Amino acid sequence: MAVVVNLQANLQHFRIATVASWILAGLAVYEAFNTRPTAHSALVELSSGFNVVVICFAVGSTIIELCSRLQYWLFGELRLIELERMREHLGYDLLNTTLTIAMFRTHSFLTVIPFALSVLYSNIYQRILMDRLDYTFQHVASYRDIFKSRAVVFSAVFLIWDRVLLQMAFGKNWRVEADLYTLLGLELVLTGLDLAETTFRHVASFSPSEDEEVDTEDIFTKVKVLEVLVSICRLMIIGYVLVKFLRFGSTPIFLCHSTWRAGMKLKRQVTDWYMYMKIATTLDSNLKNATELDLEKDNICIICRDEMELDPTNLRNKRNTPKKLQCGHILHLGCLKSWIERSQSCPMCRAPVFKSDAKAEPEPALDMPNAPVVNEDVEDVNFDNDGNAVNENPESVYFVPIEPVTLGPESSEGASSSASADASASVPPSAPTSTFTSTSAPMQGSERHTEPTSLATESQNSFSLEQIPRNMVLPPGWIAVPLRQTSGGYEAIINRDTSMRVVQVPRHGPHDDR
Amino acid sequence: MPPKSTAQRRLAKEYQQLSKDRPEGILAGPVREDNLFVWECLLAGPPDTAYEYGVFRAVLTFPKDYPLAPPSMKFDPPLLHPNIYADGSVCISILHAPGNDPLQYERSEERWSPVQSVEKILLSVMSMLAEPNTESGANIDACKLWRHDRPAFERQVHQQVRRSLGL
Repeated sequence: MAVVVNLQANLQHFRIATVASWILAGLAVYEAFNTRPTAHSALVELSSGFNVVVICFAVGSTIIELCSRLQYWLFGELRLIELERMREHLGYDLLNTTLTIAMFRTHSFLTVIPFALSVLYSNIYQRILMDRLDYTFQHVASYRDIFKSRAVVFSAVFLIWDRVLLQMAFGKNWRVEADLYTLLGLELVLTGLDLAETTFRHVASFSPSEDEEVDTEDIFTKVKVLEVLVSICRLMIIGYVLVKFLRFGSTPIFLCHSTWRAGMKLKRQVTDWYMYMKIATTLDSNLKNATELDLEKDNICIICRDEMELDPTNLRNKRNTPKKLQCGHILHLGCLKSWIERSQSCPMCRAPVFKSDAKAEPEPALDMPNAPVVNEDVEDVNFDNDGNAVNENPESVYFVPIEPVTLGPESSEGASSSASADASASVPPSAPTSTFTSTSAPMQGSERHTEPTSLATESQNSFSLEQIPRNMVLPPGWIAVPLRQTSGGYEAIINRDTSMRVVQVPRHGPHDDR
Repeated sequence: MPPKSTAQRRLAKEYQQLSKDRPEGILAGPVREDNLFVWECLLAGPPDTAYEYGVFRAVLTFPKDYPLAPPSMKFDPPLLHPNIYADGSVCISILHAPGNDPLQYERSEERWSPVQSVEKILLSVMSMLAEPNTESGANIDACKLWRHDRPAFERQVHQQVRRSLGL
C-alpha cells in the first residue's frame, strides 16, 4: 500500500514542483526582459546561473508530465505488474541513454536530446504494451475482439512508429555507422523485436473459447520456432552492431553484455525446445497404455477431470488414450501432451516424465560423495501408485524381501538416523552378502512385488527399502544414490561396498498433497 | 449451451463438486452462469487468528488454458496480510506457474499443477491467512507490522473483519 500511496504523494509533489518551476521560469523571463535593454542581452541573462536551472527543470518536468498524460491516455490506469516492470527497467534505460549520449560529443545537443527522449519513451510504452497484450489476450473471446482491442491496435501503431524513428536514426539508405544514433536505435530495435514477438505469439496461440479442443501441439511448435527465430535475429543485430563498433575502434561494454545475454537466451530456448521435442515425439511410443486394472482404482484424469476409458476400437482419437507414466500416474495422452509443453514432469508427483532427464530433479536427495555408477538397469524399475516397486523386467530386480528387518519404533514417524543405523546393523558388512533384506517401508507396510528368480542373478547385492529423513547423516561408508522422486519423498540406493539399499526419503513440502 | 472447452468442462465439474460437498468456511461459484472463468468466493477467517469471524470476498479469474495455467485470486476489498498485495492480489506459491524461477525462490514442487483445484487453492489461502509467510512477503508494510507490532496489525485486521461483516 505504501508504495502506491508514496507514488501518489510523489506525483502530487512533482506536480507542485512543476507548477512552481513554471512560475519561477515565468518570473525569470519577465525579469530578464524588463531589466535588460535588448532581447539579446535578456537571453544572455536567461542562459546563465540559476535561470538555466529553473528553465531546464520547467521544460523537463513538462515533458515528463505530458508523457505521463499520454501514457494515461494510451493505457489508462497501470496495473501493478506493469508499474513494477516499468520501475525495474526505468533505471537501466535512463542510465543507458545518459551514458550513450555522454559517449559521443560530435552531435548537436539539441537534435540528440529529443531523439533520445523519444526512444526512451517508446521503449517504456512498448514494455507497458507487452504486459497489456498479455492481459488482453487472457480476456478476449473472439477474433473480432482482438482487432477491436486497443492493445493490438497500439502495437501495430508502435511498430510503425519504431520504423519512423529508426529511419531517422539510420538515414534514408539504412547505413549503420558507429555513432550515437546507432546505439539509441539498437535499443529501439530490440524492444520493437520483443513487442513484435509478443504480439505474434499471442495472435498465433489465440483460440476463441468456443472452439472445441484444438491440438495445441501445432501452435506450440509454431510459437517455439518464432521465439528461436526472433532470438537469432536479435543476436545477429547486436552482433552486427558490435562488429561495427569494434572495427571503428571502440568497444561499448554494454554491447558485449547484450550480445552475451542474447546468446544465452537463444541457447536456453534451443535446449528447452530440444528437450520438449525429445519428450513429445516419444511420448506416445514410450509410455504404456493403461490397463483395465489400472483404471479400476482411479479413472479420473487429473487434468481434465473426465473419466478415462479404455477403448481399443477408438484409434481415431488418440488424445483420449489413457497413458501410464513411469511414476504410475495415469492421464489422457492429449492432456499430458499439453501439460508437457509447460513442465516436463508428472503433474501429480513432479517426477520427471522420463527418467533419463535426471536434470529435471529439483535437488539431489542426499549428498553423494563419489557416487558409484549404478547399474543401467535402474531405469527399468517401475513403481506403482504408492511408490511400491513394480518389477516388470525379471532380469533386473532391486529389492526382494526375504525377512523383514525390524526397525526401531522411531522409524514409523519418518525414521531417524538411529533407525537407519539399526537397519544397517541388521545388514552387517561381514554377513554373507547374498542375504536379501528388505525393510518394508513403514509408510506402506505392504508387500513388494517380487521375483524370487532374481535371487540368483543379483546374489552379490543386498537391498532394503528404507525411509529416512532428507537431512539424515548416513552411516560411515554408505553412499546414497538418488534413484527417483516419489510421492512420498525421494528414493535412493545406498551402497556400501557390495551392499545396496533402496532408501526412501520423505519429502517435507508444505504443499504436499498426500 | 453446454460448456465445450477443457477449461469450461473442468470448471463446471469443480463447481458441481464444490456444491455437492462443501468444505467448511468456503463458498465459491461462478459470478455468472454464462462465464465460468470468473468466480466469486467467500472465505471465513480461520479461527484463533486475527481474521476470525471475518467473511472475506475474493475473485478468482481463470485463464483460458486452465487447468494448465493457474488462476489469479484477488481479495475485494483488499485484506491486510503479509502475502496479499496492496491491491488485494494473493501471492502464494501454488498460484505461480511452473517452470524454475531464476532465483530458485520457490521449489518447483510447490508451484501450480493441474492436480490443484479451486478447493485446494482456497484451503491453501485459508492456511496462508492463519500462517503468513513473512520471508517472501508481498506487502512489505504488512510484513513489518506483523513482525514488529503484532497488536497494531491485529487492530487493523479486526477493523477489516468488522467491515467485512458490514459493522
